[in-house]
Amino acid sequence: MWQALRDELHPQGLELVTVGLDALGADGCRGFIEAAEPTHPALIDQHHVLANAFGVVNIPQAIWIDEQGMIVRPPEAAPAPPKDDPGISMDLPPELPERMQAMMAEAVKIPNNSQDYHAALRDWVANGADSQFALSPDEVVERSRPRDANISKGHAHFEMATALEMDGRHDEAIPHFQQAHKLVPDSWTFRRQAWSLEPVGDGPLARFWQGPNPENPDDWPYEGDWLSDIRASGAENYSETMKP
Amino acid sequence: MLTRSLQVSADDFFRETGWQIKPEGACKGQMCVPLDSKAGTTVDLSELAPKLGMATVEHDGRYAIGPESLGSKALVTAEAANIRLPDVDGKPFELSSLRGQKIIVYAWAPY
Repeated sequence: MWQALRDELHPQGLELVTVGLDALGADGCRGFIEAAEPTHPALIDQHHVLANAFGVVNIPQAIWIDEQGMIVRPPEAAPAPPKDDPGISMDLPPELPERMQAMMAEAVKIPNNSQDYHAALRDWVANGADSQFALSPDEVVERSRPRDANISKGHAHFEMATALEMDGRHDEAIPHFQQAHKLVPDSWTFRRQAWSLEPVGDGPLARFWQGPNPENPDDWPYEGDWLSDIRASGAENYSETMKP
Repeated sequence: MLTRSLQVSADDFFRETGWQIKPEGACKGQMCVPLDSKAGTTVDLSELAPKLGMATVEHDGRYAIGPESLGSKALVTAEAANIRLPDVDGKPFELSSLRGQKIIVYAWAPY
């Protein structure tokens, strides 16, 4: 869906770079990338360097960068182009488990400002620095996520966790994921990544379960899970919609 | 960044964090933080990391160094970090190779 938009706007000087955030690397991302048949750079980010370098805290989020390499919009929610079906794009089993139905009921409540976002993107591609959506360098820094010593420590724990995971030391990674979640409470990606490494079942939804296995719920190592956390924070607060 | 030693080369530190060691200190964008020791080819992270507000986590002889927090924001500059990441076949890519084009960096995940 982004591929078509990229092909349309590439002649006007826009390039799309997709980055899959996944400790499982190419193994985790390959199926989705091959299905999309990208003509643009499609990268793999096993340690979530986009969190360190830009302050990405959820997916999908996007960062806009101008021809001189200056960020003109820091990470913000990046909805799919409006002409696409905003629903979940994978094949869902006919008898969806109750938990997945409940998750989808929350997901549809997440605000979607696709029309506004893509109008703004097109305005920037056409008008560059004259676009009202191209922010000044000071505004870009000001709008980026807060970061203190605890948040830096949470990121360090997360990177250690992904390193251990890549070494096949899953049990040792878990305490570092737990610390990352505690120290960077506004990061959905840090939580979603860890939850996805506790798959339930082995079908296409295994990593989207994002919570305890109903057969042995006491084995769940984390405080939260996707359904409990989004209900606690409110689906309307799940992603920060673009403000001009 | 991940490292097995707190003594790292200035080049590696720059590549991993975007902080460049110059005569005036450790610099990123317009920001420079003066250092006690003279600029060299090696940096001592036990000295430098706290100055930049970078936390350190140790596990089994390996260190993870968190990102800077001295500016209280995720970004200390609007200059985009030169992200270096592989594609699905392991081929390396640098964001700076697209200089001269507008870029939208889109984060997604298969979960």
